[in-house]
Amino acid sequence: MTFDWAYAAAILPALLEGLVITVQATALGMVVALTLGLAMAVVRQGGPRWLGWSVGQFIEFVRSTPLLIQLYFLFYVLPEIGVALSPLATGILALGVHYAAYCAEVYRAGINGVSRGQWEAAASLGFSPWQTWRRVVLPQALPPVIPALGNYLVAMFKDTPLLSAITVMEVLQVAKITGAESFRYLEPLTLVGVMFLALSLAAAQLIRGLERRFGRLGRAA
Amino acid sequence: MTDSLAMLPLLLEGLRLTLQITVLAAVLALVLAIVAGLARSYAPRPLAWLAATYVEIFRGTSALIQLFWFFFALPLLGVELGAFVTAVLVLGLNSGAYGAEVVRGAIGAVPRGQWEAATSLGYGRLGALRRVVFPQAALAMVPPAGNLAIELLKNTALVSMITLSDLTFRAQILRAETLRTVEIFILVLVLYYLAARFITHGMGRLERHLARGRDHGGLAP
Amino acid sequence: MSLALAFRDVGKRFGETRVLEAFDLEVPSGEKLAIIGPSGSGKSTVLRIAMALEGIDTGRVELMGETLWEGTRRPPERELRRLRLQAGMVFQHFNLFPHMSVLENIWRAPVDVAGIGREEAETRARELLSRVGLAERAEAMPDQLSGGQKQRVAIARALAMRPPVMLFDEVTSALDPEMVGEVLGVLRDLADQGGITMLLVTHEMQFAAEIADRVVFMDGGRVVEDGPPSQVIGAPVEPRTRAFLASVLRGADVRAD
Repeated sequence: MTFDWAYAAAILPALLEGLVITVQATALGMVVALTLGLAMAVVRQGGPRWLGWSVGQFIEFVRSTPLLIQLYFLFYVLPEIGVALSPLATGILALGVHYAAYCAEVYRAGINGVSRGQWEAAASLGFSPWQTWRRVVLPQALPPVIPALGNYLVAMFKDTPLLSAITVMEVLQVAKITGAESFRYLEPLTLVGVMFLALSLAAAQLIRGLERRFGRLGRAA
Repeated sequence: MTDSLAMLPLLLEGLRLTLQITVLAAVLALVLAIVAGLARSYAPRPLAWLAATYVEIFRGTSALIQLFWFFFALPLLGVELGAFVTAVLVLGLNSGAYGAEVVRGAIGAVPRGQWEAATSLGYGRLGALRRVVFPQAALAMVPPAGNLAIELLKNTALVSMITLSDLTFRAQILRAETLRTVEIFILVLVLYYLAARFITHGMGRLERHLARGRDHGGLAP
Repeated sequence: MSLALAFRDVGKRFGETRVLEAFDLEVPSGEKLAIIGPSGSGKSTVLRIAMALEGIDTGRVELMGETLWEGTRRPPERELRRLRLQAGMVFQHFNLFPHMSVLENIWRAPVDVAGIGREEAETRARELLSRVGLAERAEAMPDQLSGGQKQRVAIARALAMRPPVMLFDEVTSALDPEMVGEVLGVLRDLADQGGITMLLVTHEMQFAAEIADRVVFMDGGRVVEDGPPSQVIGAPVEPRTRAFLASVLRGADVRAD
């Protein structure tokens, strides 16, 4: 058996439709991960001690367990407790929470990079904790971590095919179904691999650009 | 509670397969990481190019797509590996690609002065690498290697999707039979978590062992 | 005369180290007080406690007639913030906000904290900038300034909140020698103008003698000698003060604090 180009061309539109779902799920998942991750990082640093500790444990736990299980867990448990989400929404939530744990660690590194003097200067001027975060700490902590967050965006994109496990019609699921119908897995799966490779390489280029732009930020003032 | 404990032996059976795949894939990944990591920087052009292609392809697509491709598409090209071998091979190749970058980065971080010192003592390129540079870089490789090992452990959950009855697969079967979703998945999450903690602990010991009686050599502390 | 700041029998330790011990100090409103002493004598800690950046272990601290610290009790965050408005601080390492322009460094807190309109705050910020001789650098970023210029901006930033008490923590110690003069000049103008209570922790003895109403020599977490500059710096009574001043005059390593 050899690669059938005509067949590959025939299934390409369906696969691209699946890819759109994949990209959408990644984008929305990243929105969840970026916001939830930031909230966790801030609470961990500035919240009450017991809460910071709990968040730290949660992050550790999420990072140590497989996304696939977390995905199944939400998929089966949410309906049992009365939360009815579509498979796609469940998948986005799982991706978001999983990567929020990673993003929180990235944010934390950025926050730790802001010197104590900055916190003290803010306090001496009477800034509230909220104002200190918003005006002083985060504007300095965030730009340097943008490339690292970009890397997790790419990692999340590569994990999005897991959503096929809960019947989301993203690109891998489309490829599998197409393959099962025709008994030809070679073309759909190879095409999916090429799509991912192309997008990942493009994203890596983009992140290198971000690194050049945000790699350093003067903090000595 | 007694019932959930009754499920434990079945799950532990699954855990055994999970750990088997993890260990075998880790060994393969270690070899691949060192060979590809060194080849990319120090081998003659065609070999370096081959190593780079391997690394980019396996980092640029995702583990699940690779598993599916090797399991569903490769047999159509006449190569039938079976689920277990496919799992070990693909996860090993995947982790090895990430590991190669760790090896490359750590060796690149050894100061040039160390190369020069070795050369001045009459070592050739290979001798300098083996006796002087690599031993220093090895220490810096341990923490990221620990993270990769945990990623590998988490990735083994994917093998449930190519019919292997690992921990995740058994959780799925048990859930379908008993419908006690919450207990099963929490138990499974905890098992993965403990296995991850075990890896972290072991890597910590390895790091201390390698660091014993030595400052960071030429590496910045 | 009312007191701007009062330390009463204050004790403070960092781990095993006692930083302040049975420390007493009263600063009347409008006074210019210089605190001198060797490294580790606790003089910077006095300012940091007054700015509510550090708490205390025992005793009591009052700022502008209100209790700031009493024993280990920590006032609620809101209360602490209200009290902090009574003091402004200039740091050894400037601590300008690197992501804001010079002008924004100055107007940001008045707008966010004091609730002053943006336009008014900017006008005031420009006035303050010209007072410290940097009117033309309003749009610059802190990284583009010299150390002396940064410190002058930091002084303007603290003044913008119009605190009745100003705390200066070794504000010339991190500067190259040729930039010390410009910062001291700004402090001198501020002192001449009057109205503000000033506490200066400094190694510049000459300068302290010149502008301070009173000088306190600290050592080992206590006040060792307290009096007018003509006494404490000019003709110290205590042997420890004499030893310290002698070492400073010999040019010993006191600036590298």
